[in-house]
Amino acid sequence: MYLWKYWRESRILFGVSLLAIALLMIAILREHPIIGPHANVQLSGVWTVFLGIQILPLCFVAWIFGSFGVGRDIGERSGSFIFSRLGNRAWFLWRDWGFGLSQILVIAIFLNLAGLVQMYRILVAMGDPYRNIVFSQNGAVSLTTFAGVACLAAFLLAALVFSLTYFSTILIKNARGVFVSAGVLLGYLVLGMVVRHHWPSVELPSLLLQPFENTRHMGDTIADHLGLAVTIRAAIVLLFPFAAQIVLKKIDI
Amino acid sequence: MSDLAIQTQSLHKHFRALHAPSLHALDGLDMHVPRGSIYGFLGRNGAGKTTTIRLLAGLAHPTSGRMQVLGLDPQTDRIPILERTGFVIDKMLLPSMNGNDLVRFNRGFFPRWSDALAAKYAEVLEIPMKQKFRRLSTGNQTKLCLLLALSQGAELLVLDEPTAGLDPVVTDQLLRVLVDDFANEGRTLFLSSHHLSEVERVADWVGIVDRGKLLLEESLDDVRAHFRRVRVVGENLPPASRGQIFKTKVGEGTTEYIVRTGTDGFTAELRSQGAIVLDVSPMNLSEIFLEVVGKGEANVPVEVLA
Repeated sequence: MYLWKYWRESRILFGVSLLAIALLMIAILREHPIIGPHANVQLSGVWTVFLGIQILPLCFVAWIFGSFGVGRDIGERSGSFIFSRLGNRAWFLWRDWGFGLSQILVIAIFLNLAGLVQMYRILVAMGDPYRNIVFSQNGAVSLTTFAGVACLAAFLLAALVFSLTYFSTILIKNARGVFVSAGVLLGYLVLGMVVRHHWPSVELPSLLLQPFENTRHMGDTIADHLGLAVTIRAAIVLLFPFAAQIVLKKIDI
Repeated sequence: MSDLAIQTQSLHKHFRALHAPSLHALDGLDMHVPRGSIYGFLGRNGAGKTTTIRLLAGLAHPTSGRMQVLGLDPQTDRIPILERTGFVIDKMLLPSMNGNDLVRFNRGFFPRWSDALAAKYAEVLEIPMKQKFRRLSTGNQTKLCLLLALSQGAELLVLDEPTAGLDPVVTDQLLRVLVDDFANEGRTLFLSSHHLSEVERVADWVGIVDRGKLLLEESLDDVRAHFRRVRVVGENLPPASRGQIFKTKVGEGTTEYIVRTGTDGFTAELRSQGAIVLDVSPMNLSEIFLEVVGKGEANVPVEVLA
C-alpha cells in the first residue's frame, strides 16, 4: 500500500515520460533514414549523440523522482503521520528508493528501445550486410549488446542523480534537496574542469559510463574495464540510500 | 502486565543549536498514565507536551531517561506499540490524498483496521471524504486524523492538541466521539491541551507540565476534592515549605495558601495559632493550573485562560 503512495506522486511524470518516448518511437518509425546504401557513418558517434541526448531528460526525471518520498513528507509535516504507521524508517526508505529506481529503469529501457529501433533502421538503410553489428572505435560488438550497454550507462547516471537527490531530501528534511543534489553534480563538473585546466594529466572519473570511447587511461572500456566501472558506479549509487538510512535513523521527526 | 499505559522516568530531551544555548524541552519528566484513563496532559505553549508525545511515538530520541508505552520501549519496540496505539500529532496527513485515499492507504498498515468504523466516523463526523486533505477546513482535517486513529483498532490513543483551532461545535462533536466511543470501552485516551475547560470536561486524570517537568499529576477527582484556596489574617503563620501547602502568597494584611491536602486540619491548626481564616474556597482546574505553573493570571496567555 505504501508503494501506491509513491506511485500516486510519480505517476504523472512517469506517464508523461513514457508518452514522450512513444511519440519519439512514432517519429522514428515514420521517418525515412536519409543515409544511402554503403554510406560511411560513425555509428559509435551516432550512439554517443543519442546517449548524450537521452541523459538530459532521463536525469531530469531522475532528479524529480528523487524528490518524492519520505524526505518530502517530512518537509511537508507529514512525517509524523508516515512514521507512526507500522514499519520502521528503513522500510519506508527502501520502498521509495526501489520503486523510484524501477520506474527510472523502465523509462531508460523504453528510451533505449527507441534508440535501438532507430539504429537498426539506419543499418538497414545503409544496406549493411552485418545488420546486428556495430563498430566501436576499438572493435565491433553486436547491436543488442551495444544497446544494452548504452541503456546501462544512461540508467547508472540517472540512478546516481536519483539516489543523490533522494539522499539530499532526507538530509535537509525537505524536497528542496533537489537543489542540493543539483549543486553537488554541478560542483563536480566544475571541479573536473578546474582540475583539467590546472593539472592536465589528472582526470576525475566521469559521471557517465563511457563504454564506447577510449578514455585517456583506461583504453577500450567495453573490452577490459566495463564490469569494474559498472560495479563501482552501482556501489556509489547504493551508497546513498544506505547513507540516507543512517541519517533517517538518527534524525528527530 | 503493568497497570500503566504510559510511564516515563527522568525523561530528558535537549535540543542543541549552533548559535544558541541548548534547549531543555524535557527536564526529567516523570509521568504515569493509568490504563483505562482519560489523561489530560496540560501545559503552556512550549512546555514540552508535543516533545513528550513525539518521544512516545518513537519519532524523536530522548537525551536520557526511560519511557514505556503499554509496557514497551518506544525506542526498541516501535512496531508493537504502533500496532496498539493511535497517534495524532501534527494533524497533517498526505495533502494530495482525499479521505477515501487515506483510508485505503492506512488500511494496509494496521492488522486490526476496521472499514466499518471508518465509514461510521465519516458519517458521524460529517467528513467530506472525496475532498483532498489540503482543501479541507482545519476542523475537517482534524476529524479525518481522528477517524484514521479511531479506525485502526487501537487500545491507546495519543492526541496532541486535538481541539486546537476548532470551533465549539466541532470540539464538542470530537470530544463526544472520543469519550463515548473510545474511552468508555475501557481504552486509554491521552490528550495534550491547553484548553483547560475541555480537559476538565472529559479527563479523569491530569498531568501539568511546565518547562519540561511534570509539576502535578493526580486524578481530577482528587484535585477537585483536595485543592483549596485558604485566605488567612494573622501573625507567625506556617512557612510555605510545608508539604501540604502548594503555594503561599503574602498580600497586604492577608496571606493566601494553596493547600493540596488536609485543608481541615490545616485551618484548625491556623486557628489554634490565633489566625483568622477568612475563607476556604474550592478551585477549578484553570485556577489550579495557573497556580501550579506559577505565572499568575496576568502573565498567562489568553488560550490558557479560555
